Amino acid sequence: MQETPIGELLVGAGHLTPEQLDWALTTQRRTGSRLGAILVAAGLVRRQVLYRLLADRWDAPFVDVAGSSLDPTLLGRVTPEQLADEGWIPTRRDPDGIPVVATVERPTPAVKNRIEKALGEPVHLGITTEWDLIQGLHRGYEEIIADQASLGLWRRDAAQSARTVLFPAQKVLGAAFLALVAGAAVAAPGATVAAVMAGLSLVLLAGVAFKFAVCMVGARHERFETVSDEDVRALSDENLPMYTVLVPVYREANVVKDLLTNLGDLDWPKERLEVLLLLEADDAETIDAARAADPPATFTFVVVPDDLPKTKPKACNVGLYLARGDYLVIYDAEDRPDPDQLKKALIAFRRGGDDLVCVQAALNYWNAEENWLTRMFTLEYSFWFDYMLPGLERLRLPIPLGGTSNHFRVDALRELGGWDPFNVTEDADLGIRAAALGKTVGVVNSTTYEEANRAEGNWIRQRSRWIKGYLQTLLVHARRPRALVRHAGLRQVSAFLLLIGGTPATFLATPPLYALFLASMFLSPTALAGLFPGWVLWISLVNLLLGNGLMIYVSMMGAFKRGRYALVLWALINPVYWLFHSIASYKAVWQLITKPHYWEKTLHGLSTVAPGGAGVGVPGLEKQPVAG
Amino acid sequence: MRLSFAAPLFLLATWADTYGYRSGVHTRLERQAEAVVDGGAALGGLNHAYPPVPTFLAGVLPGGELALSGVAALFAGVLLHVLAERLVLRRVPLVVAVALLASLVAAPVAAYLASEALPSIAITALFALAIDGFTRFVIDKDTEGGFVAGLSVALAAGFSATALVFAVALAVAAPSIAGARYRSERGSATATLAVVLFPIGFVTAAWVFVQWRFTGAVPTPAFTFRGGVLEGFDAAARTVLGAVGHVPLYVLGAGLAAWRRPTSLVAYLAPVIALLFAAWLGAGYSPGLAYVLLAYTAVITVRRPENRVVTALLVAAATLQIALAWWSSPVRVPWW
Repeated sequence: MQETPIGELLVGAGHLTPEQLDWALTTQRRTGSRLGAILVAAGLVRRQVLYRLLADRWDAPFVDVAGSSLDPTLLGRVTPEQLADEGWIPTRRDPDGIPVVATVERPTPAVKNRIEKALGEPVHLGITTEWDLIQGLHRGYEEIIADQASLGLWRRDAAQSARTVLFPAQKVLGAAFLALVAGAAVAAPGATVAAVMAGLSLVLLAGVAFKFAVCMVGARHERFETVSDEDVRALSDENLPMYTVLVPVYREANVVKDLLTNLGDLDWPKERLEVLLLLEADDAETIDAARAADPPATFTFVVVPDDLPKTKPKACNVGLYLARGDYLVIYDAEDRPDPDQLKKALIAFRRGGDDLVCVQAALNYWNAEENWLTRMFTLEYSFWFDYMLPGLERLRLPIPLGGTSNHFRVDALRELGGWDPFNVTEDADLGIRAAALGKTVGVVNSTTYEEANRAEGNWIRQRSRWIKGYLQTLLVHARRPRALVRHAGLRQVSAFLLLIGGTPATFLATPPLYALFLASMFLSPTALAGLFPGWVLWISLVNLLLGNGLMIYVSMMGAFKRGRYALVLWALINPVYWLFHSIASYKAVWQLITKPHYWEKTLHGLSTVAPGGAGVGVPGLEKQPVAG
Repeated sequence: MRLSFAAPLFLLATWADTYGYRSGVHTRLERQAEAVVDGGAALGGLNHAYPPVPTFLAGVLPGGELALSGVAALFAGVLLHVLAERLVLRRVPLVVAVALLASLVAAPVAAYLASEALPSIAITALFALAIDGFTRFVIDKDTEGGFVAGLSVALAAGFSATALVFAVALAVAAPSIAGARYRSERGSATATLAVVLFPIGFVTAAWVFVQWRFTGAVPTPAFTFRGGVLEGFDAAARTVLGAVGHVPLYVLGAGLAAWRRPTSLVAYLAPVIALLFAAWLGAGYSPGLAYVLLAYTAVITVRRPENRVVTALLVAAATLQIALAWWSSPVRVPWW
């Protein structure tokens, strides 16, 4: 006997109107998705209603996993990965001693047989929702997931984790180098200062010249679009894969509501979209705000346990553990991605081959014109994401990922070990780790707009974390230099050193070189000759001037490419902006020594400009700053 | 490939060297480099260092004047290769491409500068690249073109002060080319000028600072209006127009640019404006420089001919140019 279609059952039970059913069936023909998933994602039917109906039809009880206790001994027989993959969870034992297992699939004999084989005894099958399954897995395996999220990478390979800042060999080498410099300074102070200064100026020039050369390559291919609008239009909605969106939020109660609007614009079938809102257990305010926002059924709240390290990558690892998508992306709560970004990323993945593990979308700011700092930040991001990353991709060099809008193949990300929760720029580290393991990272021509930091102190906190993370990444990947060269190749390793090592080094070198520049303004070369021979002074000054000139120019061009013409002349104050970088870099070094894993909080929601416009100071748009 | 373009020019220089010919330009650069070294470790001799790039090369390259000829040949070789590449990419018919390239290598003055006058051939190469990049940047908003234009002119300033005049000519040309767009896009005119002028402005300021710091003297441009301001302008205009008359390819190119896209004519004429000011101000003008600059500009801006008439005109103009270069050149090549 043929079953009554589920849609008709829902209409018959008064949960759905015939018009709604027609719409859902049309959507189903277009996307190939399950009807139930379409109805739930569209908010037309509540998940529990649907699954209770299915349970009746499949002649099995409905199991409220979220509201019942879970038997740890049963959970201990299987892994959460297996359960998430197969869509079932053991809950408790019935009075007859037989385990009750909740599944999201039709309880066929084959399914029952597979589950019994996994548990090693007969089971009673019940039905539950996918949401309940995730909540059950998270609750049942909370400790394991938290432990895995914190220490998984470190256990797998301690050398790939920043948990230990310096390995013994690194300590010895570092101490030997410092002793050598100190000894030289005592024996020949003048020559040592001159040599250090010449070395610093060469480091500055090498770092800047590398960036400039890469940007030129990026500029040469600026007309090349990874994915065109025609490609996106040609992509059928039928059988699109499941996409997981991770949104880590912490003390961001005031931006949670914006998140619903920002992600709501994504052009992707809602029933194939899973948004995991990663909340922290000690952040009741944001949890309450998220609940009050009443998000659609595609959103799932995941509360990350309150233990150390308390970092964004740890929260992301929890999300990765529970993710059901084939692909995954990270967004911040205030991000506004281009609506077609997921489709562009998918096309990029399909074209990129199996080695492509991640594609990075460009980041830019919606409050660029707010003050001098947001302007400079926008100039910096424009050249970085529009020239630098495309240039690195073209040259097939390692790409340090940006904080958000990085899209991954989920299986490849799990294979890489996820994010390092002890690295405070976990994204950059992951990009480098991928390159070190012979994988590739690409870029996609889509932009996510964010809020630029507008307060100097807040900016320095954020930047010091980024620079500390670069230093951590440098130390982590330099632990096995020979293996690194063997796996990644000399070219990749040189680029890694110039980029990840060169960036903090140039900022650290800037103050002494600026001081020398100022001294040379007021003192004649003969007065400086005792400390700096003419050639050292000449090289230092020329390198400083050249380095600053190149960075100003590349910033100008970045703004021009984005069509932000009013920002072009602001690039002239880049040297002042670099001083801020230097302050942040010295703070980063200090923190690397004193608090290596401390996550400097950046305040979000400081902007007085509305995301959609330029209404600085518009009453009613002002928001309270929050930490995140 | 690029070396193969440079090799004949270097052989020419070597041949001249074995016959005892010494390039006056290169000899002067050698002397300047020696003067910088004689200034001592405090670099007090930096006031002899302008133009810094060829002077530096003269100081560090072993082999004296011949080494500078080698660098000049390399510049010309790279430029010829780039030109040949562009002609192929633009699908210019082979017969036209050969005629165009021949107009550059078969002219005695071009061959002379490409082997015996490093600063002239270097700024010619850089100006030609700058014009190409500038056109792409201003008309198509191609920022790579902007990079190429700005950096080429800035680097040219390391070879000759004429680059300053050339940069001003480009800046003057920019609003004329993309005026309509500038009016609709607020701030884009200023931004365009900043992109074109910043590199040379920065490089010039940096050089002035470094020279002042090490020598105590602020270098001032030795611009002079020979024979008076108005008379000088009249004489300069006549001189430059005379030079233009010896490069029929350039004249034809101007006509074709005006016919196809009148706005691009302004960028195309930038070298003439630059030469005019250089001659008027006495900023490094020479008939040889005028010839090669116009000849290379004509070739780098050539596009695929639309019909046989244009093809024939291009071949005819190239042939005429070679003939003029041999029999009616305004420049007297030393061994000629």
